[in-house]
Amino acid sequence: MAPMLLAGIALAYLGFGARVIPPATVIEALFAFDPTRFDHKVVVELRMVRLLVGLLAGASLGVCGALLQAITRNPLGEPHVLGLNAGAVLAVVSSITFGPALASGFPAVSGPVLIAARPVVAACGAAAMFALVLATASAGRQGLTPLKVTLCGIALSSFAAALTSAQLILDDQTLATIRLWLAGDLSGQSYAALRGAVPVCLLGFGLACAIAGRLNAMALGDGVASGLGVDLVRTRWAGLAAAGLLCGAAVSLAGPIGFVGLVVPHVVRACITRDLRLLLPLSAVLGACLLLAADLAARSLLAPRELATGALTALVGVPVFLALAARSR
Amino acid sequence: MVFAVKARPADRHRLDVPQDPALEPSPLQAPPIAPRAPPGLSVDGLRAGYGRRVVVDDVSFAVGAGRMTALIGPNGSGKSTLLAAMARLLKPFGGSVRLDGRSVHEMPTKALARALGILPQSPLVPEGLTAYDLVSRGRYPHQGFLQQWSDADEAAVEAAMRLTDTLDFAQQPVDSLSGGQRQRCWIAMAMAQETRVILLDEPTTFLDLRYQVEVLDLLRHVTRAHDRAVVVVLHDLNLALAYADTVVCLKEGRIRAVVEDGVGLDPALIHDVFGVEVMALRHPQTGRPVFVPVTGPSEGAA
Repeated sequence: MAPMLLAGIALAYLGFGARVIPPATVIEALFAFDPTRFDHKVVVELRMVRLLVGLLAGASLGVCGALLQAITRNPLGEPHVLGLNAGAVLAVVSSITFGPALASGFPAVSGPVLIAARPVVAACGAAAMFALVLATASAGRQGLTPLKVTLCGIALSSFAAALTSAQLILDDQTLATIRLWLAGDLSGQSYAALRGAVPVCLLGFGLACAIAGRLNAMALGDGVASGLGVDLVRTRWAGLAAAGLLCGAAVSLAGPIGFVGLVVPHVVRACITRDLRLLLPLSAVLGACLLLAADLAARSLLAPRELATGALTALVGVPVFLALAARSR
Repeated sequence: MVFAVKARPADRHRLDVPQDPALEPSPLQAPPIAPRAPPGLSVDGLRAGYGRRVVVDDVSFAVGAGRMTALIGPNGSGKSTLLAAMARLLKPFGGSVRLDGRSVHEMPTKALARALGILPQSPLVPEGLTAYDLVSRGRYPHQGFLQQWSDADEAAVEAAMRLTDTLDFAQQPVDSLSGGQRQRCWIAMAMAQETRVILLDEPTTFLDLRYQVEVLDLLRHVTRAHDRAVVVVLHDLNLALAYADTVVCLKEGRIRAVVEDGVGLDPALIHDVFGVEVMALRHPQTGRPVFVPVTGPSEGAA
């Protein structure tokens, strides 16, 4: 059912816009592309990239959220709340600011290489930030509690955002080129950027699925999980790497988009399953659905003007976040 | 059972014939360990604690199959620490914990998890997780990356749930069950793991007397009928005496006494371990001792 929902949303996504194209024409454009027809060109050359970006980013965010909620045993776990997004943005902005200067000594490293490396840079930033959040939250006598993880995530997010702003204030040009991306937006991406992000995303997803069984055991507590033969430390490191890769792939494409990773796993858990081996792939599908739907709304609500997609997911996500925060023990 | 094979004299003789080592089946080929460690779980000179603080020291005892062993002692005497070190949740500072002669701290984690199970004191119940799903997670050590769920898993889960009488609420969320039902689900999870040794940290705490008895009856049944070695940390001295074959009394991190079938446990020993004056009665049914506190100075003096 979930894949059908996704297919329906994708079809609507390709059809709607400044120029509405009927579903039949969209399907025709996909399966019998005719370069002389304007509608076909719009679907395949303009909207298709954006659709793929949305699919990949949404799926990555959904899985990343499910993963973070499992690792931190925190219902509020999410790349935006736990600082991964801010870490990824900081890494990308720093690479834009300092990258060319650093790369000037190496002629092989030119502009296109920097863009292709962006998902990896973002992934490193996200993973490093998450590691920092976990380290600070684990300090103290009680160890890692859901509340401390959330607080440290929010605090360190602000810190990273401050460092990002400082760089952007000093460098107007960078700000101008990435302002929309900073707010979380699916537009303005190319197939080149997608090609860079796909392997990062797949690696993260594969790693996440490989540890799903272990995370199921860890949900019962560290003692039970060790008793079942789970290597806690290795699983946490793998989870951290997977979350970083997924978040990096998403942020490099769509900017820091919040709350998709928060809402999606909760919906899957409430409606379908708590078993992470199933929950992770379902979160991918549903995450893609949600992000595409949000982007569709962002494009059409105030047409012909566009809202930032990240603003729209926050509009849906914040009430869910508050409801969960009020309910959590 | 590897050990049954090894112990047979006929097999031993056959080993003496020189053979190409590569052709020999590995269990028979293993060089004789001298002196042979007893089958079951044995703790030898164990020293463990947290950070740099030593909590248990110089602890040695053995647990055999088909026997239930209770660890008792006052708060802070190191019962839970000892159990955690035995289940390799805690790396010991010194000494060893051996399962059939192999150090549990050197065995591969998943292989050990197929032989030794641990139920910690307050495990977490994810919101909305059903009893069946909880028990199923006990099968983790038997599953590989490719073999996710087999008929053997299904059979083990069902058997464990039947044994613990939890099938009636298999599809209900564990967090909606009563304390006793919930504890039975956890024990079912440990049973589904199909380990020869099961360690439980205070499985009766926070339960009404009725559920305490229910849980201990279940554990005794598991011990006897399924020939498991069960080690359980208990708070209640009299319940420990009533149910356990062996009672290990801990005081300040060291073993003060090991009592078999209640023999040799007297008020003086209880006073030494727990620091309270007690009087001994005899359980009319089992003949084992029961200890009641001496109440108040005026009545007690009489």
